[in-house]
Amino acid sequence: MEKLLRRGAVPREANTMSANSLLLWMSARTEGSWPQFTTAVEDLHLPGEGEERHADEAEELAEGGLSLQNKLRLNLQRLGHAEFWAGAKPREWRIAPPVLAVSDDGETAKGVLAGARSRRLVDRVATMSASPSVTTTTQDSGPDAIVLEGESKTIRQAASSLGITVQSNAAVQILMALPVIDDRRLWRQDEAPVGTDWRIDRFSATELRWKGSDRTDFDTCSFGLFRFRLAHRLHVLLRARGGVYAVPGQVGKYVVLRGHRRRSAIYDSGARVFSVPAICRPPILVERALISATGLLPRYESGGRGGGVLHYTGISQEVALLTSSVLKQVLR
Amino acid sequence: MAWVVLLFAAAALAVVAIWLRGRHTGRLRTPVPNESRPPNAGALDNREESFAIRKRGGGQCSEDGAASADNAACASDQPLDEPSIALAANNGRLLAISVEEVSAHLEVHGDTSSAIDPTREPVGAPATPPANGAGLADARPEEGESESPSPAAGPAEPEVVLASDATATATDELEPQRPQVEVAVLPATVEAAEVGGAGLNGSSNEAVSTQHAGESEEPVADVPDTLEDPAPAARYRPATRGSTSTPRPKRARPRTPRESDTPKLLSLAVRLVRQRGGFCRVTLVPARVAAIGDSPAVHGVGSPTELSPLQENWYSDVEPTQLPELLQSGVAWESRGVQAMNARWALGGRDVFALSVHDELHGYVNTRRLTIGEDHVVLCTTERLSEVEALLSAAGASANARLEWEADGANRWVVLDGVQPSRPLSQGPDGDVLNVLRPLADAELVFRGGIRLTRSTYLQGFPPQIRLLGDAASAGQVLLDGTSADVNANGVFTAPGWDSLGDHIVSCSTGTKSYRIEEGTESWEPWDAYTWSDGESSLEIASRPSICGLLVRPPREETRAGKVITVPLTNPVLIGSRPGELYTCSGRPDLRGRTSSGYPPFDPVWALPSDPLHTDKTYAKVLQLGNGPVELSHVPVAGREGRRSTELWISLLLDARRKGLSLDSMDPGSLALWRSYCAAARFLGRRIR
Repeated sequence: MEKLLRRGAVPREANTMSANSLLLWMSARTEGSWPQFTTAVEDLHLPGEGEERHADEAEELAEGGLSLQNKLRLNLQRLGHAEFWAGAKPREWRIAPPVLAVSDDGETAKGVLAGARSRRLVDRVATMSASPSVTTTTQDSGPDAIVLEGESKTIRQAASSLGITVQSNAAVQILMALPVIDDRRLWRQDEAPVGTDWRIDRFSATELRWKGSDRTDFDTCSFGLFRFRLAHRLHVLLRARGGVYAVPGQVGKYVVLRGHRRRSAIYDSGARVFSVPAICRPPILVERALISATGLLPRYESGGRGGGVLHYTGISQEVALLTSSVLKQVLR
Repeated sequence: MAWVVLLFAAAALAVVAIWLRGRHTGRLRTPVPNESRPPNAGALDNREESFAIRKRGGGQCSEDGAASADNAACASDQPLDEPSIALAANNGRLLAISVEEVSAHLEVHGDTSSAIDPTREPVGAPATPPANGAGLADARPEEGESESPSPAAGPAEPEVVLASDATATATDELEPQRPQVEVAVLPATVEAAEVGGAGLNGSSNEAVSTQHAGESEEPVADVPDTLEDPAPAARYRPATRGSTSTPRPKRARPRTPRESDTPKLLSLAVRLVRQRGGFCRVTLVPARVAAIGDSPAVHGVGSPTELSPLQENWYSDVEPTQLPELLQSGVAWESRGVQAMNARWALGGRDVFALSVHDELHGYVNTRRLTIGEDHVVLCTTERLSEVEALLSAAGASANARLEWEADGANRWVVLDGVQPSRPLSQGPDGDVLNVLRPLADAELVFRGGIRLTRSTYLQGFPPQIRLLGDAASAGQVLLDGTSADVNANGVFTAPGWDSLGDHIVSCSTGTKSYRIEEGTESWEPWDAYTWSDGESSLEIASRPSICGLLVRPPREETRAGKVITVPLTNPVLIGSRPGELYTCSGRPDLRGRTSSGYPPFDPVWALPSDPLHTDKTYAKVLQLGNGPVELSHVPVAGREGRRSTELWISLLLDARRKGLSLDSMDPGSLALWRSYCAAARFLGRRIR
């Protein structure tokens, strides 16, 4: 039977489809509930298991349970294809309208196609003339990135012919529409969950990791970010200014980094790359702005503090400045 | 002897059923003499009625008309001169209790907790045992599916269960097709309780929530061979009643989850997902129904603290560390909800699992048996490997490869990949676990793949693959919309127009299936998804722009704005194509950056410095934002404000020209456009002066 042993066999599941199919399905349905979305993920038999677990994914695993459904959901939000939960009310998910996010660097412009896709739209993009050029890039746990490159006028004309809206300077406009991370009007006063079964961690700004903590530490702390976990439940609470506030985990981390005057963001102006520790992945709308430049999910590099590094490419200096301002970071 | 056993089983069945029903109600339904019915009336018309006393006729007793062989109570031909309750036989004797006895007892004792002495002499002549002796055949536990035996019933404390109650309760708990047994039973012996209980529970093993996976082939709610301490069945305790001299018919109350202690039996699927490098991951996936709740607390060996929903019909995967052992020994989990229905998940332990593609879960899920033509994965213990391989070979389904299950550190299991049987096999003895590897010759049309919008509707351009599983020879010709379908090398059937819009029907000799192709939406509207938001909370400030995907929309209060414009801080003034169209953008002082944004009510063409005459023309430029030609048709602009803005529009253009500011683009078309705007400004300036 040894001859039957053959590792590395390509999965042959008859119904394996890609995240592109999921996006097509969502575009056809336009909106729906979370169970419908998860059912579609299962129904379309999306692969996604067995990938290397990144520190940022471990973080997400702790914060939401990184099932395939959640991973796809997060990536669809980051790429600007769909909105979920708070952004999709009154439904639980809604597909965003198709948009060509055009960024103009002077000589050449780049247009990233985001939002709903139909088979007809994709076919029309694929059959466009040589100018602008169309580049399709496959990426893990996300639909293909479709990018048009050429002259700004040509790209805008192409968008007009396709019947899709042009969004100029998407990254800049998104960032300018966001509050800074320490805008306390968005912090919701809350209380720590009761019970002794909760596992409590505290975020360390110096070590860039979650460290075990306890109720006493939480009660006596004047400024810090805490995480309460029990089974699949998660509460992220910020202790600041004498109060306890519920904040998104990534927002809380940057508040703490700011409070400890820790710099975590790096910008390489030559390579146009904006980098952060993986554990300090920016809040989702900030990340959306960074990704809109290329339509590509960040590149992960393992090693170093914070469980690795996330690199966002194609970032202009203005976008880097605005991002660091929103995150209350001083760029290194 | 068998029929005696069956009768005992029926007795225990009724006892348990009545106890479950009466536990919370605390009431004992008293018999209602159905004087309106002739003594020779047949079965009860309505099992929810109070007990109706009538003569039983052979073969007519049970409500669904089951044969008398299935209903011991009907077997008696004994004419009853007085209202009575026919009993399941004890030692072959039918015992009868008169209504008067029951009523009298209630009056005296107020309850029936210490009810009639079972040892007393029966009223009326005992009936002859049913000739066929089948009696309660259906109460016999099915082979291989016996649930945990009911615990000892303890001392035979008398209990009275009325036939109507027994019938109603029994049918509440059993599958609808189970024949109703009209019996009133005396307390059963331990043996009877065990057998009857097993029978009841064994039959209810199939009453599992497979409505979400109607095509599910896997055995559902298999009971483990080694079940821990099942909850002992409580005894029936009718509650105290007031005067029962005039019993009233009671209607059955609708059951709510809180009132029912009987847990909902649900399946526990085994799922295998291939991973890279020849590895695989095996998990358990509990079935889900809404009545149990989204996150029920669960207990049992290997269970998580609580479950989390995966989708409508399933909870998220659970991967116990001792899963390799549990697959052999079996799994049983329970949840007891305060505000939700109790539930029980069970998976029978075995040495061989056959897994196939599932309609609702990706990966491979355990199935009842291999299917010809379908791709499978087989999970078997190392001890059974040789047998399994022999069977697979006989079925023409030798495994192409093996997968490595990392969590199985002791190498207890072998995972055979790429199992695709091509031949049917005759089945082995009942209960043979290897029957799962013996595919049947049945043929079945299935739809695979495609993008499904609803259960049978597919998105245009992504139709399903039509395949025939099983013994294709038995299926005959496959017709697609009445046309003979062609089959390609991959076994997929097609015909002209099979993927066109509209309804389609596929048929063969074994069945028919239909599907529909629909267009998807081609227009999508934006909305204000986030306004001044951190991604979770939004402040909905009307003066702030909103975000929807990558689209940034003007603030709600800017009703005339078409879109959001961003320009450098050095060029905040926006010029439109019509004289007077001016807008000044503003930056955000809380952000470092060199950008300002605005929401002009017109399409801007130029962005100029706020004071062109006094700016450093080394750095300052005129930015072109649009291509619109200047429009002079609306000049002169009415009103003082309009005149003022027109004058400002003119002066800004002329100042920029006087200063000699260059354009950011040296395109000839842009230059020509700029010159036309400057000429128009000069012309208007003279007119105004």
